[in-house]
Amino acid sequence: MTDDIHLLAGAYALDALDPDERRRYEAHYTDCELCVDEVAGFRATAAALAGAVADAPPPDLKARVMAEVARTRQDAPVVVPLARVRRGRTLLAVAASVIAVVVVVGAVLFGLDAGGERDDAVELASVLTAPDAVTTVLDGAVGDGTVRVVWSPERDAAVVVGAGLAAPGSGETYELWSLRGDEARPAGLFVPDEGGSVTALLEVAFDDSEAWGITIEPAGGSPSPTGEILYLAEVSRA
Amino acid sequence: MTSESAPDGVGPATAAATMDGVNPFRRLRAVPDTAQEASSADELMVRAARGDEAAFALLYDELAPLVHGVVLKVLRDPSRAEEVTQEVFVELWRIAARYDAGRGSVRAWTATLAHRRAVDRVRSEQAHRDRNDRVSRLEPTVEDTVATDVEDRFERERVRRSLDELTDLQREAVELAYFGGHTYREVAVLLGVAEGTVKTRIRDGLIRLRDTMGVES
Repeated sequence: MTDDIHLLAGAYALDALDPDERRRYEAHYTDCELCVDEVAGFRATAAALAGAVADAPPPDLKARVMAEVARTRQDAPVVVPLARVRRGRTLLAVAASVIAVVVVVGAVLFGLDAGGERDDAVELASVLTAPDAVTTVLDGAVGDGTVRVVWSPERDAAVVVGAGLAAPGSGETYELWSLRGDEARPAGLFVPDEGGSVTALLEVAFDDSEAWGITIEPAGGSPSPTGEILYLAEVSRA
Repeated sequence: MTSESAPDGVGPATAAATMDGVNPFRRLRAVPDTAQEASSADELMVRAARGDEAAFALLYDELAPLVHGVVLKVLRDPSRAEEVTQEVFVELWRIAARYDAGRGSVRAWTATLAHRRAVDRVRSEQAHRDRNDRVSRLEPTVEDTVATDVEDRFERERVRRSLDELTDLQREAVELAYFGGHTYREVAVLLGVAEGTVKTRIRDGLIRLRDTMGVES
């Protein structure tokens, strides 16, 4: 019987398999190039059949759908291809952002006194001045704050510098994600102060980050993002 | 999970306010993308996957007749069809990021989602009933739907002509399975032919339809 499993492609594409058979076929077809192509073609065909019975729903349904959409959280986001604008950023703009970071950090260093914090501050400064440090300005919050990530792969660390950030809800935290391909890997947690500013030193174990993303997560962070991406940018490595 | 299961009318305003308090960037994220021109369903889906509700509203306009039509066809009950149509769109929003353009068009993906959900609903409801009731679901065809606009009529005509190219058995098997929401085993019982025959006729029929209609996947 297993030799004719390919023949199930049609019934599968029309949802005409029993649950058991559906599972069995799904286990098979994802590894079978023949079936993947055939199912794709059959689904497009089925969509044409569906199109032939197209029938507009009552007009008031749209408002109900959109109201529910507005309060429905989307599943974990995947990395979307970013506009190439980032790469086109002028040197001047990059220089300006680095200067801004240094100014902020200078202010932070000046205000520190506790020993532990000083150690952090020293480490923080060393990340900022590391020869391989890459500064990325994160998109996504026009007028509502800026976030920069200064990352030194050699030092396995990144500094998040932000201002004008909204306070996360109680029991929530910001989380930085190191993105590579479709993968989002946790890169540390941070919470802005009451004024919405943050300068946080984060341990980043990944030396192959392609982009940074920031979401809000439950306190303690999540192993993979559950919140929507609030900030996102490609790492612009020289 | 709380927001999804919250019934209509139970504090949606409160939920929205809380969400805005947590995430004031919500509206801002939509701004740059909405400004751009995008009209195709594929582009709209990409934007919806980034949380762009305005893009999703346009996507709804484009796909609602497709979804509602096929769901209604399978369920044959306007109020339940409306309910399932709503579920399909909320699901589409929720899993928008999962859409993979490399594996088919947004229309095909959406039709798959809608049909599966309608069929699952039919089967879970029918599991409680006498299976003989299903005979009443016989003979679902393209003809018994009223097409509203010209474009729909044209599309319907094209599909009807393609269906006419099939053998009677192929056509009946495909229609009972797709529009009737039956499994191929049920189709075999309904048509009084062997299961294996139905299985191959469905596939042969789809191959022929695909080629006749020049469908691109």
